[in-house]
Amino acid sequence: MVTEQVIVGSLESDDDGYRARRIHGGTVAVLLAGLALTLAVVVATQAAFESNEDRLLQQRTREAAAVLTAALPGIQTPLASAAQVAEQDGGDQVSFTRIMSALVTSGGPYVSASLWRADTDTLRPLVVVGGAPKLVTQPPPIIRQFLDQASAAQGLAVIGLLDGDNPRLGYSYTSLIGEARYVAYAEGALPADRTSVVPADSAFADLDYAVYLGERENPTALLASSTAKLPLQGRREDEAVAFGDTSLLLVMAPTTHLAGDLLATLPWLVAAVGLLTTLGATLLNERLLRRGDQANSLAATNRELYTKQLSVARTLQHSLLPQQLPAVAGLQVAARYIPGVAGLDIGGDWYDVVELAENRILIAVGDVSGRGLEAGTAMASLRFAIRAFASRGDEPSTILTSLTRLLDVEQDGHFATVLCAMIDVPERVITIANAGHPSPLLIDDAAVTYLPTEVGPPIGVTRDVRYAAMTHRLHEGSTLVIFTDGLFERRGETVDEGLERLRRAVPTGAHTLEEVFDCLLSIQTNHETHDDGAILGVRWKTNRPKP
Amino acid sequence: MEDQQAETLSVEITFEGDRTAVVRVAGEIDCATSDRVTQASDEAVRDGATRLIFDMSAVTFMDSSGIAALIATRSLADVTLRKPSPAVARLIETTGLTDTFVVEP
Repeated sequence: MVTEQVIVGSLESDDDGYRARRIHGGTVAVLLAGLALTLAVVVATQAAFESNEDRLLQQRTREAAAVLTAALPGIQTPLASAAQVAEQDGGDQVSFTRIMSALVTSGGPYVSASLWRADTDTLRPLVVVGGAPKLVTQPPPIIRQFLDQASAAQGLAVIGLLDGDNPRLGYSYTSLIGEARYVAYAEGALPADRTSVVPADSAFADLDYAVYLGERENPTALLASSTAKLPLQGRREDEAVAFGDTSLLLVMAPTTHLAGDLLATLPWLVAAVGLLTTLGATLLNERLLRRGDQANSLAATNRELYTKQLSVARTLQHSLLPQQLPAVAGLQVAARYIPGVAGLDIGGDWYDVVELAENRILIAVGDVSGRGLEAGTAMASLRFAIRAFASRGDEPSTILTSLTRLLDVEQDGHFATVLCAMIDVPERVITIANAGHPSPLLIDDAAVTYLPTEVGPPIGVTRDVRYAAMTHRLHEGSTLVIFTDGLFERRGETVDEGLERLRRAVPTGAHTLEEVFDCLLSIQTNHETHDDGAILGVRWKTNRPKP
Repeated sequence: MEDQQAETLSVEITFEGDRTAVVRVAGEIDCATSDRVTQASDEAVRDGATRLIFDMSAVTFMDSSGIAALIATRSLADVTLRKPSPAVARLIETTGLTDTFVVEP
């Protein structure tokens, strides 16, 4: 336990060292993938937002242009009427004044209206309603050019009089019927700074606009705008609106996000969520990988501990079994101990060979039920007791009967099956007593059989028992194999089936004892066995040469 | 691992009268499951049983741990093995325990 803690402790400090050294490749991959994914989604969201804003701006600009277009007839219709009347009544000043006076008022569309003749050299109006037209202050060639332009327009002609503190826009109309000799002319005043703020409750409150006369965004041709910061920057859209013989250029730019602020912040939200998610995934991944490392590291330590414990158990087991089998004249003796799958614990199986006087030996194979130190201790006490009883000359049946005093399953939780045999080597006579143990395999030239035994209850079950022995005389060259149930016990079959399988596993022909053991063990290697096993073999030597 | 082991053995106690408990054991009794036979026996005795009948007809495998568990119950009550399956019957015979347990066919 102390060893374990020390090793676990050093493992953790190793891990800390590891932590300081580097980050997992997998984590870096997760981080990069997360960042790439976040970037892609942000770009896509931003693109969608941009495209949506562009589309909305385009839509709003068209709406504004439509509003502007709808306002134009209000300017030109009275002029058209006045031009037509003048054409019919020969430029009557009274009727012109009557038509225009209602329109040339504060709040009306015009600040000045006048009637001109286009087909004379006189560059002065026939009649003026309201204030003096700014057109008359222009140089004569300009006036001449405009009058020519007006009569040629056959409809609305526009002149920008935008210089100075008193910027105006001049509109003229000539009759579409007749000779178009008369030019009805009016001027609308523009604010000196040419800005007009869009009311906050207007449908266009979220847009800046600028209206230019003509097709170009020329600062000197600016008619009106909502801001002094011109030309309009950033996202913008322009639309041309037909205006008499010229046109108006409407430029619009949003002052805010047309689709709302949420949509505008969406890419940022996506970026923030993406980064947090990536960070979280990265940390989680790294944590999982580190746990994996720890688990691997622990598994390695456990394997090491297991191996150590296993080797401790095997060393102890080995110390409880005979270190060396005695050399017996005329007899080959071999034995093997097989730790089970649950090899961490000491098993209770054992074998022993005791040399006795007069060419006799006592062999014993036993199996204490259960595993662990207690089972090992019980096994050791039985083994050494058998040696002691045998040394004082007890017969196998007497030995087993004596053993019943050493073990009680109701107190110790263990019982033991023991097979005890005394062999007169030269006579090939064997006397066997059996306490609940499988009978030995007898291999001779004729067959492979189980040598019959008189089976009594296992040691530790009852003290009220006297064991009997059976005596057999074996053939020359016979082999006797004594084993424990670990060799044949298998789930789902009876003892007889297991024993028959074991019997069939005995190889025919000449084989060493070790080879016979190998064959007996081979039938169980493919199957999980928790139990340990012990085999003891004796073979009478023959003088016959091997085939 | 424990679940897997639990599935290999089932133990069920029913009383025949006040003093006789039938412990029906099914599956494999080995070093991993034999404790449950012991526990069931203790429980039955605590509930007043003086006679334990182990119905062994559905036991497919038993090893020495199972034998040890069964032998240990003899100190608690009169023990009878009822209808032992072939696997159990032959194990009892080959380990010389025929006289240790009362066996009902």
